[in-house]
Amino acid sequence: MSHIRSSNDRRSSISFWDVVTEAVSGLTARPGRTALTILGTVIGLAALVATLGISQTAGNRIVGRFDELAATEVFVTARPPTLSSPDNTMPWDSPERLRRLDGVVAAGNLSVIDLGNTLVSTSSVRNPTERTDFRLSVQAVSPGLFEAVRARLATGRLTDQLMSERGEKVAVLGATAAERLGISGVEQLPAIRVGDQVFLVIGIISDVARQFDLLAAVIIPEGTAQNLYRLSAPETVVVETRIGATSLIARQAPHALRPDNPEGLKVAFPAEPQRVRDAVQSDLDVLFLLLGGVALLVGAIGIANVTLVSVLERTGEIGLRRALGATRRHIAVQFLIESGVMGFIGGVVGASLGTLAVVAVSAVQTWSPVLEPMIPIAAPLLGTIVGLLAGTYPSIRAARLEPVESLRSAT
Amino acid sequence: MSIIQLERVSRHFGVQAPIHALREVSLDVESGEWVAIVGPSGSGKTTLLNILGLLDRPTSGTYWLSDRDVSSLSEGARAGVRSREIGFVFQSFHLISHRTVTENVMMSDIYRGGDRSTRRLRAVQALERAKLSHRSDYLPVRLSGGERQRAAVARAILNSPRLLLCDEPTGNLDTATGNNILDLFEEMHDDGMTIVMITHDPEVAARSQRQVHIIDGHLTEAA
Repeated sequence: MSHIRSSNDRRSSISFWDVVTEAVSGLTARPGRTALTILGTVIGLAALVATLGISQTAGNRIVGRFDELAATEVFVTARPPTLSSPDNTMPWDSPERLRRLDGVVAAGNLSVIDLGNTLVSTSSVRNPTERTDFRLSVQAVSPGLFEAVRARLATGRLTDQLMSERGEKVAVLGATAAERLGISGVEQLPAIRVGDQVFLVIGIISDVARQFDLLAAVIIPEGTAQNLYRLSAPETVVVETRIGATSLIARQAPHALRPDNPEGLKVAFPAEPQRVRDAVQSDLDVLFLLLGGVALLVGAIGIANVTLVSVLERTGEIGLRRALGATRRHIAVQFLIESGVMGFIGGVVGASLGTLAVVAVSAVQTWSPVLEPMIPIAAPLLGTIVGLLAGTYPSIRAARLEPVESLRSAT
Repeated sequence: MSIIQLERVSRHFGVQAPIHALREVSLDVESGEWVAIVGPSGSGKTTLLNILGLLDRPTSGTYWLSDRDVSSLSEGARAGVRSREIGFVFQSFHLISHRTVTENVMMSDIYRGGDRSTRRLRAVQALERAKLSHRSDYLPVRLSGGERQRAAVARAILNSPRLLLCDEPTGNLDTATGNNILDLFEEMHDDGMTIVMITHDPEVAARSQRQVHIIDGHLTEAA
């Protein structure tokens, strides 16, 4: 008898379309279970997409706030005197000197007057039934300060250069201070007592953008403070710059104010906005990515688990397929495609839900949703990879089943 | 012309204290024969069927199928031979429960890369031969045992195999239904199909043309 090798010895083969059809049919056999299996991946990828999107959105939001104020403020103060540098004071005309610098929008002196236990009251007559005197901060300012802190005038007027030069006893109240003193308007020419001195209230400011303690303070002209309280030098210069000019002004200001002793002054300005953005966003991203990654891992374990159970349940079917001509590879590929398709569907649904979540959170917070377009596109890809990885072990198990033994188990 | 030629085929399981499921079995089956392999459980008849169906390899000896030494083929080539030349009928039917009868029958075409466009038509023809056309759109759960086995037979003959291997085909059926299935085999046998059938039931075996007995791994021709 001769050993004939004919073309009939060729391997069994299955078309790509057939193997996909078989895999999808395996998934639709138990739609409820398939949906539940996918749920883990859906949650994981939705969490990932949503957290990335929300962190980007929130990151932009935080940066927006920094941009508006922090990027435009510089504070200059005198260092405490030392032996090598006994004269660290700032000149009275600091605002004028600074305004000559390119990039400075407004500048003003601000000095807190130390009055010890002196109280502020509206009347010399003490009313025993209610409290009429309060401990309020008294702050001396140059006229340019109101612009530098973006003060909003509620009523009356602000102190000006002339009042300061003449040492007039006038005061502007912050909104909180005015409320505590019971002063709501200046039409009645209200007066307040600060210790033994009487000041005419000429205006009330309702809001400031920085130096919020001004709102609870009695604000008097700088010249008046020199006369009455022996203010010897301004304590702080508040500078508003154009956006992006803070670091430049911070370098120039000490030389403009004290060319003879620039080291005696201390300049405070916030970190570069770009750096703030990076720091905030990377912190949030790492946390959120970890959360999404954990959820995705749980989803992958879910797919692996259910695919493994499915392999054990379908040993009869696997045996039958082997008898019909399937190779081990055909079996493995079918189960891999099943788990990969589950991961893909999880990715598509998860990306959709995640994007919706970003939009919903942004809508509630009235933020502009920000989402890198690659993220929702990559999610189905990631889901497929997760599904394939999760299906690897079950697929190998399925391929290793001996057809003889699989067929013996009932379908 | 012989379809099956076994030359002193043995199959052992295990290395230490091996179990000798088949001991130097030799068997010739001519094309168009209907052979029953009869034996009690544990006699090695399932092992023999697995080797005949290329689901298992002999430990020693040679298996010629259609004049080819299939015991030396690669697994992929053996799967190819299974898909094209052998039809299986199992005791427990092995139908996929969520697919209709027609879809179950069509399944046996996918691993031979069969023509998709004619697949359904061929399945309908196979169901006609198995006399189950009236149930073609049913799910297996709604079929009786006899109908399920007819669906399995239709699946086995879809690709006009040279050899039909049946493992206790009537084992899960009552006598009357079992006889109907055997009637179907007889018709296919009359049409020239080669059938090898395993059974422990002498009455079922009596329907075949030729009986061989297997006991403790030894094959003997019935008188």
